[in-house]
Amino acid sequence: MVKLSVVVPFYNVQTYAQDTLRSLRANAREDFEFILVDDHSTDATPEILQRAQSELPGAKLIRHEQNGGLATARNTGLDAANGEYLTFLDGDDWLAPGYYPRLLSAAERLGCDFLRTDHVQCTARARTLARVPHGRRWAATDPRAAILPADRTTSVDYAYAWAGIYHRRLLDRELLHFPHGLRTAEDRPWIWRLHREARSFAAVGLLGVFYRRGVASSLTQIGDVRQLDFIRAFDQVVEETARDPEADRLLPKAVRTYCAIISHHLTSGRFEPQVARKLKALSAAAVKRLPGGLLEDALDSMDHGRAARLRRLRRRPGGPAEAAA
Amino acid sequence: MGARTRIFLASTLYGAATLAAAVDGGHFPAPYGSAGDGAGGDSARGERSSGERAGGERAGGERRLLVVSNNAANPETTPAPDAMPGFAALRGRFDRVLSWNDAIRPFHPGGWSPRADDVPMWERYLRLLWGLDAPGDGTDVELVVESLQVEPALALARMFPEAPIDVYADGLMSYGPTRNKLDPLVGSRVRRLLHPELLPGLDPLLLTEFGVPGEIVSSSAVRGVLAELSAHAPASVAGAPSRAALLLGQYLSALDILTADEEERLHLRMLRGAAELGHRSVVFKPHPVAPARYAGALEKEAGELGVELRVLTEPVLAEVLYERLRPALVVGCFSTALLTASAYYGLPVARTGTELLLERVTPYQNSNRVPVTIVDALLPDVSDPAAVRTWSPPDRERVRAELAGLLRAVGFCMQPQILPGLRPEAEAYLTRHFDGRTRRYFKRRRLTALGLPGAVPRQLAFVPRNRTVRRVARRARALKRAALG
Repeated sequence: MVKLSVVVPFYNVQTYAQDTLRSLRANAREDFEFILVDDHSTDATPEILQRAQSELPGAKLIRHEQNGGLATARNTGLDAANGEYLTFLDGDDWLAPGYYPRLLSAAERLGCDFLRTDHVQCTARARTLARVPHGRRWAATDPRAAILPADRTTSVDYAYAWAGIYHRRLLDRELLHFPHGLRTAEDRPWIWRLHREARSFAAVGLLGVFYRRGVASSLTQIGDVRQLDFIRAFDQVVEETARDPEADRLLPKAVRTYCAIISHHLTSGRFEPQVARKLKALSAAAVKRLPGGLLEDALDSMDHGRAARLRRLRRRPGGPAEAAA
Repeated sequence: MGARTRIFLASTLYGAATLAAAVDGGHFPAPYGSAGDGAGGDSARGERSSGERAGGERAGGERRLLVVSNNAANPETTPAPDAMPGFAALRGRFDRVLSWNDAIRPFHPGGWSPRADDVPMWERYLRLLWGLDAPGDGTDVELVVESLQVEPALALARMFPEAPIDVYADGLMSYGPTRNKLDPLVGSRVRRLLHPELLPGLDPLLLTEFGVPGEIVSSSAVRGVLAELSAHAPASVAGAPSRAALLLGQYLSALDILTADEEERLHLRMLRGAAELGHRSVVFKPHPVAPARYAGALEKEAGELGVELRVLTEPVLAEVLYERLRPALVVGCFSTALLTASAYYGLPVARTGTELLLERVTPYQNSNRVPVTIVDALLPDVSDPAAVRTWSPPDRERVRAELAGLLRAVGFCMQPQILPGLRPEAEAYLTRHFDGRTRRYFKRRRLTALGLPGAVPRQLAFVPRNRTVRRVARRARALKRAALG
C-alpha cells in the first residue's frame, strides 16, 4: 500500500532537476511514490526524468502532450496518485534528506486533514526561514478559524502547496485539485478552499523544503502577462468565499488580501509597459467589482499609501479606452 | 583547566587529506603533560620531531575534532567530504568527526556567519553541542582552518574569539595575497600557514600581511596519505583505463567566469589537444561539485576523433587517479591538481584556456588570478604538441628566477592596500620584465592607476578619462563592428 504520493511537476528545469531528483532519492521509502509530471518541457528535462525513472525507487513518469501550466500538471499527478497521504514538490526545489518520513509521521501523529510546514528560502547561498503564519504548533485545530482576522497575515496567506501534507480524504472530497488553466496564483483559491472546507489542520516546523528564489525562469520573476492571472485567481477566491455560509465573516479577509496583492503588483515595477497598462485596467475593473462596503472597510484598514493607490484606481473611468478624467 | 581541543575544519576530501598529512608529518604534536603548552609553545613547536606524535591515543588529553563542512551549492543533495570514498582512510587521525552543516542547519556554510554581538552565545552553543569545556581560558581550543577569509572558516574563527589559529592551504591560492582585509582580531591570531610544497622555491603570500610564516607539509607525508586514500577508490575507477590522457574538468560557470557553453568548449579543446598528441584513450573527470550534466558534446567529439572516452561520474580525487591509473598526460585549466601531478607524481601536464581566463578573471583582484597566472606561466599549452612533449617541471632556481618576482608583482597589483610593502619589488620587476610575454598578467589600467611601470605614458594619461576621446573610440569600435558584421 502506498503511504505517501509526491506530485512533482517539471517544466524546463534542466539546471535544477538533478538536485530535485537526488533529494527525492534521499527521501525514498518502499511505501512512497513519486509522480514526476513533465509539463511538455522543451529542454533536456525529459531525458533527465527518463533517466531518473530507473534510478529513483517509486518513480512514475507522466508526460503532458502539451504544456498546461503548474495547476494542470499537479492535477495530472493527483489523478495518478495512490497514496494515503499526498504532497507536492516543484521541479526546481529540493528537500532535506529524510524529510518526507518526518513529515508523514507528523501527519499520522496529529491525524488531521492537512498540515502546513515552514520552509527555507534560498537565493544562492543566502537562506532565510519562512514560517507558516500560525502561532499554535503541533495542535490540530479548525482551519476555518485560522483564516481570520482580516487585518493580520494568516495561514491562508501562506499558499505554497508544497509546504504541507494532505490526507487522501481531501482528494476524495475534491478539495485538492487546482483551478484548471490558471497560470499563476493557482494556489490561492486552493488554499482558501482547503481552509474553508477541511475539518482539521495543524502547523509544524520541520524546515525540510528548500525553495529556490531568484530563478530566472521562475514565474514570480517574470513580469509577463501570465502574472495577471492573479486577478482571475482572486476573483475565484472572492466568488467562492461569497457562497460560504459564513461569507460575512470571511469575505473581509478575502477582499483585503486581494487589495493588498493588487497594490503590491502596481508598485512592483517589474512589468513591461504594455503589461503594466493592462494590469492597471484589469485591477481597476477588479476593484470596482468588489462589494462596495467591504472594499471601503478594507481600504480604511490599510495604510495611507496603499489605500490612496487603490482609491485612485477605483476612480478610473470604466472602459478600457477612456480619456483621462 | 580541562583538556585541550584542536578543531580541524575541512570542506573537501583533499583538504581533510592535507590535514591528515600535516598530522602525520608531526605538525600537531601532542602537548607534554597537561594543557600548559598553549602559552609559550612557539619556540618548542618547531623542535618536535614527527617521531613524538601520538598515534592512536593522544597524550596530555588533547582531542582532535574534525569538523566537516559541505560547501556544495546544494549540500542537501551532495555527499559531504566525509561520505566520499577514501575518507575512512583518514578517519583514524581524529577523535571525532562532526558536521558543520548540522551545527548551523538549515543555513548554508557559505552564506552564514554569527552577528558580532551574538558570539558569546554561539561559543557557548558550540561548546555544549560538541561537548567541550565551558569557556574559561578560551585558548583551550585551537583552530586549524583553510580559507580564513571566507565562511565557514571565518565564522568558526569568530565563534571561538580567543582560540589561536593555524591556517592550512592545499592549493595554489596560498601563493597569492589574502583576498580581502581580514579582521585584525582574526588575522593576528594566525600562527602559521601550513602548505604543501607544490612549487619548491616559492613562498606563500597568503597572510603575510600579518607576518604569518609558512610551514611546509612534506611531500612524502602528503603522498603517503594520498596513497592510503587511493586504496578506497570507487569501483568505476578500477575499470578506467590506465596510461590514458586525463582531462580535469573545472566548474568555472558556477563562478560566472565562463558561460556553460564556453566551459563545454574548454573541455572540447582539452580533448582535441590530447587527441592531437596521439592519445587514443581519454578519461574525463568532471569537477566534483559541478552539476551533473551530460558530457554529450564531449562524447560526440570523441567519437568523431576516434578517441575512446571514459567519463568518471563518481566524485574522486585527481590524485587518486594519478596513483591508480598513472595517466600518460594530465590536461586541465588551472586546477591545483595539475601541479600535484607534476610535483608529486612526475606526470606530464598541459594547460588550456588560461589566456582567456587571464582576461575573464575579474575584477583584477579575483583570487583565481593567482593559480591561472602560475599555470599559464609554467605549463605548456595542450595545443602546442612540441611544447608538451619537451616540457619538464621547473627547478627551484627557475621558480625563483621566473615565477617568484612575477607573483609578488601580480600580488601587489591585486591587493596594493593589503600588501603596500611590495611596491618597490613590483616596480623593480615591471621595470625589468614587463614585455610582450608578461603583459598578459597585468592590466594596463591597473598599472596606470597604481602608477607602475608599464602604465599608459603620462602624456597620454588623460586619454582614458577624456570624454571626447572616449566618445570617438566608442564610435570607432561601433563602426568597426558594423563594418565587420
